[in-house]
Amino acid sequence: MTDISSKILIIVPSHNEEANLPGLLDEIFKTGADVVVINDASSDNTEQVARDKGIQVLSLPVNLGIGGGVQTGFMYAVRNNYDIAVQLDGDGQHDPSLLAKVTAPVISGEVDCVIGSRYLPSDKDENYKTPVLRRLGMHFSTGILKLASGLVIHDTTSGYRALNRGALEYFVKCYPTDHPEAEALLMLQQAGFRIREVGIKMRTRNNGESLFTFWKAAFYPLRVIIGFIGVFSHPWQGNKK
Amino acid sequence: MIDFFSDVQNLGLSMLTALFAFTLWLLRTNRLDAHITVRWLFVELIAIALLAMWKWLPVFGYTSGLADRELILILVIGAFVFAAILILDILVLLSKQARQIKTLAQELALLRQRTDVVEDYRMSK
Repeated sequence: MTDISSKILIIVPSHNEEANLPGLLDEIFKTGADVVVINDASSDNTEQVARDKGIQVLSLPVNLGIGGGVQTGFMYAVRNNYDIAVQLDGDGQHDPSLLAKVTAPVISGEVDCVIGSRYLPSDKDENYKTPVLRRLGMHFSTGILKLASGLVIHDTTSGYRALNRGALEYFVKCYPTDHPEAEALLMLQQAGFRIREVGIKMRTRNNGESLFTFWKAAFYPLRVIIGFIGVFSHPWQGNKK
Repeated sequence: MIDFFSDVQNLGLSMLTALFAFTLWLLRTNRLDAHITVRWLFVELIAIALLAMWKWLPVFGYTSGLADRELILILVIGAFVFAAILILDILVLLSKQARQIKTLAQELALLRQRTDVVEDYRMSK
């Protein structure tokens, strides 16, 4: 069980986010939580921008994608004895002021993982406009997740997540690479971790472009299916203990 | 002749299905990277579809004119399966090395951060 004195780390995976990071980091400072920026082999000044703010930076020498980047943050969290880690994208779409809402169920020990959801029926973000391709991909992964495990998650692609120590240690051992969100949920569910969604408002990206391109979206359903096959066929992943 | 063609086609489909199953087994045993597998399964499915519909493809009319269509079909399937096994072998190697590179990159990033902390501490003293 996690208590209110929990040590919280915010993990900010970033790839070419020099324009979005300063504002986001200023907002994160206000929460009082520790923060680490994962610089995923950016070609711009992402690393320097974070260092100028006095932030710890994990700079990857080669681009590992969102999965490899986030897993590096989980490794950092476990090695530095954090109780809870919150993943918060470097594009500024996730509002750090919602940190307390996202972490509360983990801090109280009710669940092991919380997803910040835009589409929770009881607390839907009506203002957020999801691009068509992303929406299709998300409906697909939501449907297949429900089919495969019975788990109903309305926002499978949300990267705003809080994890407790047990889930962190589990993901240090194995975490999916590209577009890992839906697969990671299935892994957690199969391993017996408890997952819950909380409603959040998400902002639109101010600068830069999404990495979810047309071709990535076209292959997304196949990737999800393959990822799910991988989860079901690796017996060692099936137990959180 | 038609029966022989069907036999060749069935043999080819069996070989390709076995290759498909082998690819899935490589994924299951963690030897093949999931994202490489996606592309590869896609290629294998196309090959299976092509062979299943061979009679209706324009190339069939051409090969049947040569009167050795079964031989050509056998050669095409044989060449595809041989190339596929070679490529799979290379992909397994690539997947293993990609995993190793990922681990090394992560450890390097974590070590650099620790080194920076120690350096900052020494500078402040």
